[in-house]
Amino acid sequence: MSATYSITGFIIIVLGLFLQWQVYVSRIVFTFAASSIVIAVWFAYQGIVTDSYSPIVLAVLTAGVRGTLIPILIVRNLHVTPWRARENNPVMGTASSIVLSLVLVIFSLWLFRWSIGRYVGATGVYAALPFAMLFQGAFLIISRRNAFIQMVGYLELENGVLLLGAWGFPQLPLLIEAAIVLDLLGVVVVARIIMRMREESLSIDDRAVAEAALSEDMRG
Amino acid sequence: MWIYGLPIFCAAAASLLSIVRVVAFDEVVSVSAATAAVASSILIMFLPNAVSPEIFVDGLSKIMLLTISVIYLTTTVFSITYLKYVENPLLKKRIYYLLLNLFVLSMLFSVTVANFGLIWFAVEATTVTSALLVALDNNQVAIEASWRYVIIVSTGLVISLLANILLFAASGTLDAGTLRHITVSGHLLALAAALAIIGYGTKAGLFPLYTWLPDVHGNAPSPVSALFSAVLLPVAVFAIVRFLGVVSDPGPRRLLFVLGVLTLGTAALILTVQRDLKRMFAYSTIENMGTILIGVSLGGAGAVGAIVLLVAHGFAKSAAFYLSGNILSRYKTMRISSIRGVHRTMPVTGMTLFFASLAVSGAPPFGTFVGEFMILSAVFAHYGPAAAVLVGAFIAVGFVAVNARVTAILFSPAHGERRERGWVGVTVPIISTVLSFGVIAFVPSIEKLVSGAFGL
Repeated sequence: MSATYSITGFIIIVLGLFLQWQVYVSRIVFTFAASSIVIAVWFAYQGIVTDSYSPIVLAVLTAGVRGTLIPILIVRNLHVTPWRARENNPVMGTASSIVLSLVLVIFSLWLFRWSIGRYVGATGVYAALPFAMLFQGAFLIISRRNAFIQMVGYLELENGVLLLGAWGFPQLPLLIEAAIVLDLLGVVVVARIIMRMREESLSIDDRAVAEAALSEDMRG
Repeated sequence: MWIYGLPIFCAAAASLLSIVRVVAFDEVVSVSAATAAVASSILIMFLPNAVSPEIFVDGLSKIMLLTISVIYLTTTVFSITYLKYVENPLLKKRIYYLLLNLFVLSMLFSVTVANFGLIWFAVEATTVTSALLVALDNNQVAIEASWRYVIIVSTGLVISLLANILLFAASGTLDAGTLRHITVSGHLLALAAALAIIGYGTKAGLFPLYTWLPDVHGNAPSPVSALFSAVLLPVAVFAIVRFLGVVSDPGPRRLLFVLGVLTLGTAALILTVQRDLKRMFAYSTIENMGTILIGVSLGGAGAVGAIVLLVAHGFAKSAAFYLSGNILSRYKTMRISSIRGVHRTMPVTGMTLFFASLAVSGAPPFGTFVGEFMILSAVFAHYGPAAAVLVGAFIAVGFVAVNARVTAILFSPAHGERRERGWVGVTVPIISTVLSFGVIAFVPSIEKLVSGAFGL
C-alpha cells in the first residue's frame, strides 16, 4: 500500500509543479484532470486491496466529476472565449513561480511534521503530500489573475483535502467525501456562469489586448 | 422526529414549486412556505431537544431556525416589491425565488443536521445557491463581487473542511450527538478548532478574511444583502460554536477572542470613512459579528449576550438593508453625499431607517443594546477593565459613525417631491425594526435555551 502511495505521491507532486509553470489554461486544466485521475486510480487500488466498496465509489466519483466532468465544463467555456485561454498578466514570473512552488513543497513537509504528522504517527515525505497539494492550489490562486486558473487552484486545494481524508483517515464516512465531490460540482457550475458573465462584461479594449497577446504568442 | 425537518421541507417544497410558470405563483409559494416555516419553527420551540444520527436540534438550533425563518418570510415579502425596481435583472423572477428558497434551505439544513461534515456541506451549499443572487443587478461590479465571493469563501471553507477531517482524526466521529458526550483534548483537536475558526470565519466576516463582504453586501440586491447580514453570517458563527463545543483546550477560544476584537476594531475604524450607505451597513455587520464572536469566545453570560445580539442584529440589519433598497429605488445611488433629505422625500422610510440604524449600532432599548451590554460585562469579568474599555470604545466609534451618516442623509435639506414606497416596502422594515426591539422581552427565554446548548 505504501509503495503505491509513494508512486502516486511522486506523480502528483510532479503534476503539481507542472501546473505552476504553465500559462495556457487548457494545459493547466488537463494537468489537473490527470492529477485527479491518478488520485482516483489510487482510490480504486485501495478499494481492491482492502476489499472495500467505499474507495471504489469514491474513485468513480473522483474520476467522473473531478477528472472528466469539471475539466470538460471549463474547457468548453474556453472555446467560447478563446482569447482568455492563457494567463497574460501573472502576478509572478514563471521562474519565480517554479522556485517558490518547490520551496512550498519543502515547507509543507516541515509544516505537516510539526503540526499533524506527530499526532497521527506519520512523518514520512509522502505523508505530507496532501499538504503540498493544498499549498500548490493556494499558490496558484494567489499567483494568477485568470479566473479559470484560479478555479483550478481551488480544485487542486480540494483535491489535497480529499486525499488527506481518504489516505490519512480511511474510516471517514463515504457520505462526507461524496458530498465534498458533489458540492464541488455545484461550485464549478456556478463559477462557470459567473466567469462567462465576467468575460461578457469585460470591455472591448481588454479583449483586444488579450487577443493581440495570444496571436503574438502563437506566432512566436 | 420528522417534525424537526418541517422548516427544511417548506423551503424545499417552495424551491420545487417556484419554477412553475404561472403568474405570481413563485411569489405566492415562497411567501406561503416562509410563513409555514415560521409556524413550524415556533412549534419546534416548544418541543424537547432532538438528538439522532441525522438531526441534532438543541436550544441554539431552535433560535437559529426561528431567526432564519422569520427573516426568510420578511425577505420573500419584501422581494415582491423590490424586484419591480431592478431594471436589468440577471435572473428571471422564478429563478430568483428558486435560488432564494434553496439558499434558505441550505441554511436551515446546516442548523438542524447532526453531522459536522454535513454542516460543512450545507455552509458550502449556501455559497453555491447565493452566488448568482449577488449578481442579480447584472452589472460588471456586481459580477466581480460575486466572483470574489465564490473564490474567497470557497477557499476559506476548504480550511474548515480540513478542520473537519482533523476532528475526525482526533475523535473518530463527526456526529454531534456523540461528540457532545466525549471530551477530547490534545493539540490535534485544538488545531482543528483553530482551522474551523479561520475557515468558517471567512464566511462570518472575521478579520482579516472579510474582504469579500463589503463588496457583496454593497452590490447585491437589498433583500439578498439582508439575508446575508442577518442569517448567513450567523450560520457560519453557528458552525464555529459547534466546533468550540468539542474542544476543552482554552487556546481556540482565546484565538477567537483576539480575532473578534481585531474584527470589531478594524470595522469600527473603517466605518468612520464610509461613503456608500450599503457598504457602511456591511462594515456595521462585520463590527457586530466581531462583537458576537467575542461573546461566544467567553461563554456563559457573554455567550447569552452574543445570541441576543445575533438575533436582534439580524432583524435590525435586515430592516436597514430593506430601507437602503427603498432609498436606492428613489435616489438611484448609494453614495451618502448624494442622498439628501430622506425624512421629507420618503418620511416613513426615513424615520424607520433612523430607528433601524440606532438598533444596528446597539442603542437602547433595542435587543442589540442588551446583547452588547452582556458581552461587555463578560469581557470585564474575564479580562478586566482595560479590555472592556477597548471593546466599548470600538463599539462607541461604530455607533457614532453609523448614526452620524444616517442623520446626515435623513435630516439634510430635501430636493424633489415627496414620494414614498408602497405599503409592503415600508411595512416590512417597520416590522423587522419592531422585532429587534421585541427581542428584549425574550432574553430570559434565550438564556434558558442557550444554557446547555452544545458549544456555548
